[in-house]
Amino acid sequence: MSLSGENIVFGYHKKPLVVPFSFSVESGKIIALIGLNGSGKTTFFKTLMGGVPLLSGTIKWEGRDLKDLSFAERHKIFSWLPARKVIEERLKVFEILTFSISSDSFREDVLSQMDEVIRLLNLEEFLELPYHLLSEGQKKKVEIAALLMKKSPVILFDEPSVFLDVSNQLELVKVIKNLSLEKGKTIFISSHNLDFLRACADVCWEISDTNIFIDKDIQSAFARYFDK
Amino acid sequence: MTSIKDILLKEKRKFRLWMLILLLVITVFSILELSLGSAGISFVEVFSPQNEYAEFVLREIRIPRLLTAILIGAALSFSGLVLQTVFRNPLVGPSVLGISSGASLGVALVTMAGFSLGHSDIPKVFAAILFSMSVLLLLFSVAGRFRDNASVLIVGMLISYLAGAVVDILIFVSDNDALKEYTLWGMGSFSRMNYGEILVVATLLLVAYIIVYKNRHLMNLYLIGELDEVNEKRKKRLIFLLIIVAGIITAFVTAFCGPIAFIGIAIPNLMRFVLKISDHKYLLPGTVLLGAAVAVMCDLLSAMPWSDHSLPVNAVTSLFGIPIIVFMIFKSRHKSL
Repeated sequence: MSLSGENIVFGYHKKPLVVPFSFSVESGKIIALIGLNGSGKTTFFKTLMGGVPLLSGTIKWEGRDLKDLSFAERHKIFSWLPARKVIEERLKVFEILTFSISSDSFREDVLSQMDEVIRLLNLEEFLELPYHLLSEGQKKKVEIAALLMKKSPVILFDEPSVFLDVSNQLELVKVIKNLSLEKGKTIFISSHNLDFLRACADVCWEISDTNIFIDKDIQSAFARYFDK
Repeated sequence: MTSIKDILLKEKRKFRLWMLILLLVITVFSILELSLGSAGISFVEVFSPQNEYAEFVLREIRIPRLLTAILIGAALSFSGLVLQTVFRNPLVGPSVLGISSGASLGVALVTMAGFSLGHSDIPKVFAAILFSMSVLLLLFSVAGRFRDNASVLIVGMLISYLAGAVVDILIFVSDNDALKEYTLWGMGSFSRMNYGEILVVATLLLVAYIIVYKNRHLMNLYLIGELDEVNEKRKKRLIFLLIIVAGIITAFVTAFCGPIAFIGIAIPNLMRFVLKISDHKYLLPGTVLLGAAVAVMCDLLSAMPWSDHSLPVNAVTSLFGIPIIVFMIFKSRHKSL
């Protein structure tokens, strides 16, 4: 049980978005996060990242309270890919990847890990192209690659499949599955694309009217979601 | 396959080659600048002056002017680069925050509203620094209330117009001599600084450079959007720091040399175009050196060593800078490499 929460309430000071709930997530699991616009999916991610303070309760990573971790330590555990990211257009792909590590020189092992991520996402031929020349699918892959450079064990995806065509979505499903199975990453995916989620997720969390329903049976969770 | 290591190595080699070229260019232009002119000092005399006259001309006129050109070119390009990063806009320059307009207003008040003390430059410099710093403070007192940087840019431009309006009123009511003095200041010059002033501005630039260079990784992270949303506090702190640093540098440069046009916008673009790199680790030193080289070149051209006349520096920097900016606009709108 690597990530767990006890009686947590997240949201904003004047507007809590959920009633207190508890959870525990095993590492290597993929969690689908569904709910209407404004229900608090992104706020939950921001809370984990430390951008929004937790209103009450405790969240623990490997037994340590997140409150006791510094900003940098927190960002080593979690990385978040927002639905839209503002990346300077003229940057080349390899720059986006190296910038996310923040170093002047890279050790051999770091360099080979970078090459591994580049291979995983098939980005070799794009490395020296500027970002603005890429298609939406390629841009998304570059953003994911930059995220993976940070090697954090928990990854938060906000609408990763948006703008992607079917074949790119399938490729992304493979990458996400690979990350969870091979690398043991814990992955949260917030999305409205139920087909995409069905293909990836092990567990479903639904935020509905400040309640959180945690369901291991994806099909029935989606069916209930549809009924509303 | 291309590995990331090869690419990084290639970038590093390209950067080193260009730095070498720029240092060479600066050296050559510097020797030319010192040896060309109406005083008839030969190329050899630059290294060992033959008489007191040559020594005087070099020590009192040409060397300070050369140092000023190098310093101002470096300083304006530096603050241009910093502001272009802050506003994520390659067409922004040191003049956009209204800082140089503030300086202009200060100088206009001194020259045209009768606060001048004879021919001394000190009141002008003092007023220019005072007013440009006031603009910076004003900007910050309102900037905290905005969510985005674009608002800071808009307020800066509005302050510019406001200062311009007051300057226009002063121009309208002032006499010819004062008007000429103000106009000459506005044309910019590299011949107004003495060694002490050069030292002051150089020290400021050095400190500013070190501060910004230490933040190079954060600036890179800012460019890939890593500071958005969850790192807002760090982002705000970084932006505040960068604007203050660029603002102070611009204020001092403008106070001493007048509003020098276009170097600050054009040089960072030219450097990015030449290196095709956006990493601040390379861009910062590169831009500073290129700025110095181009400023010396512009000063050399403005002195027109082949004739007895000279041109205002601003005319030359505009003639040089505007084509580059136009080129950049075309380039950025055109979807090609």
